[in-house]
Amino acid sequence: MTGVERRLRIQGLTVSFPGQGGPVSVLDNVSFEVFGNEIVGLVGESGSGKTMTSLAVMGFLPPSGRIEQGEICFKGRNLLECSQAEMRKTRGREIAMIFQSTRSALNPLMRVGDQVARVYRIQRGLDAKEAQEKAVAALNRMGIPDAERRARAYPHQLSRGMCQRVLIAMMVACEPALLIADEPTTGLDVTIQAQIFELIKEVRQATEASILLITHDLGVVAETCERVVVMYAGQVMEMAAVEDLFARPRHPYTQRLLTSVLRVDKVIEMPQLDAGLTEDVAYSIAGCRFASRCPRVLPTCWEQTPLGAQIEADHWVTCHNYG
Amino acid sequence: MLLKDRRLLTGVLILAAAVLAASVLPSFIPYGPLQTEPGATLQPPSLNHPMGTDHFGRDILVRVLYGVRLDLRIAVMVALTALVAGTLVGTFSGYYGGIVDDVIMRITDVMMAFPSFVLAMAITAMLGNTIPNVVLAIAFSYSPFFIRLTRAEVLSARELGYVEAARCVGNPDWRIMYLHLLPNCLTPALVQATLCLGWAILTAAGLAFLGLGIRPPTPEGGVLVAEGAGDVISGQWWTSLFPGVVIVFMAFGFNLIGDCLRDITAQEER
Repeated sequence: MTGVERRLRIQGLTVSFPGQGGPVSVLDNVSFEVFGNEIVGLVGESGSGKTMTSLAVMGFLPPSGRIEQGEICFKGRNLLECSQAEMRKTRGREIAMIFQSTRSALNPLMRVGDQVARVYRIQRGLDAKEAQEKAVAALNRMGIPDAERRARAYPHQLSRGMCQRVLIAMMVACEPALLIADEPTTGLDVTIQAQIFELIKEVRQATEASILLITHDLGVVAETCERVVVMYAGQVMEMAAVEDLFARPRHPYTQRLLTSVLRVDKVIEMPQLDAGLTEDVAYSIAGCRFASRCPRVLPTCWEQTPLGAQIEADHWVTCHNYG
Repeated sequence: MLLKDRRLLTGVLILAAAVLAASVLPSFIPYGPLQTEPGATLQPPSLNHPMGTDHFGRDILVRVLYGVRLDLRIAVMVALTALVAGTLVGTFSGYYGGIVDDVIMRITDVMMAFPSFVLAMAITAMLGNTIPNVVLAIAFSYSPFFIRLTRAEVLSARELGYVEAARCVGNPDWRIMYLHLLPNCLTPALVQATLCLGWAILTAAGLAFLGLGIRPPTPEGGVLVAEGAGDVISGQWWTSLFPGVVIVFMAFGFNLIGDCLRDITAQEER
């Protein structure tokens, strides 16, 4: 709620893939918004549709994925109706994405400086020399010491943390209005993680970008984000401002999610662990997809898909029986 | 070091000897490849003619050396043509997938259904047997291997992060294919190209032997063997044996190197 501008609005997005015995909808009626210059956390366990949502925004859905309905409005333009060429212009310049797998996200045969410089050349039309200077400056801003020398290195000569910084430099090179960070710190150690998130916050401040941060680390969300969207099995369960969500989670899933976080400052009983998502059960039932694991399940939950309800100024819950 | 491998070392030595001999030796020999000597026909190997002479009194050694030059040139041209064409098409096919890929793969299936040699034979017969046509024909018949190898490599590489990242910052398709994917998918095709050098020599010589490739009196390995083949029965073994042995050794050398490179790259992938 920092800005009034609605930068990204996803409305009723449903995406399905062909599965055994009919299409499986991996995203079901997903709706949320990202406002100008805010960091929104998108949390959920593996298979909950976080990454699929970001791929849909980028126009990178796998070919077998089908968009059943919904729209993705970016700055008032429905991206799902854009042509390939329009999407190409939007990517990089307007929306950029930081990927999970860092090392493979850089071309192993190209010097990292050239990879960053290339972005400036493609998107800004700079000549080789200017682009190179810009690239070194960008690497410098990312906190890479001795950037001029490192720019001449190949990805295998850099540590993973460094590679991630290079990737971020590449992605923010054109000051995108929306930056999607899909678990940007997977496989990095905690110190580097903290530095990367600091960096992401700095980028937000410097470029006025909105950031959609995909993660399953609730600690990161609490520290970095302003608002949170909680997903489960392809549906948005709850959406609220960070303090609100952590203080008063209303959806039974969010409540369980929060109790499962281990905290150093409290001695708690071992959290009750669930088995992972079993796709067949969760994705194919009518009604609420969380019903089979929900402690507060009602008979209606099995029959009727709950609709998102606004229960406070900035707090939506998708549940028949929220607490 | 790479040269510790005996096979690689042997292959390199054989080819180095061939290249050196073909480039340096002819200038020390007082005969030309087409120069006839009516008084000295069908001479057995001697000090004057270390590999003997043929029906027209031409020196076999100098003809063999010129043959090595030509065969090496043909082999390199074939490998380069097949490599360039094959990797370009293969990358395209693998990157786009779908119908484009299906069509290209069916075409390569058809091409591979013919033995390469027969296909090359048919093409030279159709185009006429000049050296460029022979090169084109052999390169064409080998290109499906390059297409398939590159395509397979691209199929796995196109899912990698850097391809997505490249698309993410707005690279057009052709740049992703030929700047990002192709250089990263080149290894198997390069190994194939070394092996292809050996086959190309054998195929070129084979075509010439059958009279479908390079024609006499051009000094070329296959031509020399064909010219001398009839003499073996009447006891003049040297006219065909020496060119034949040289061809075999060159093909052997390239294959040793190719095999070795294949093992090395396979090890690296593990």
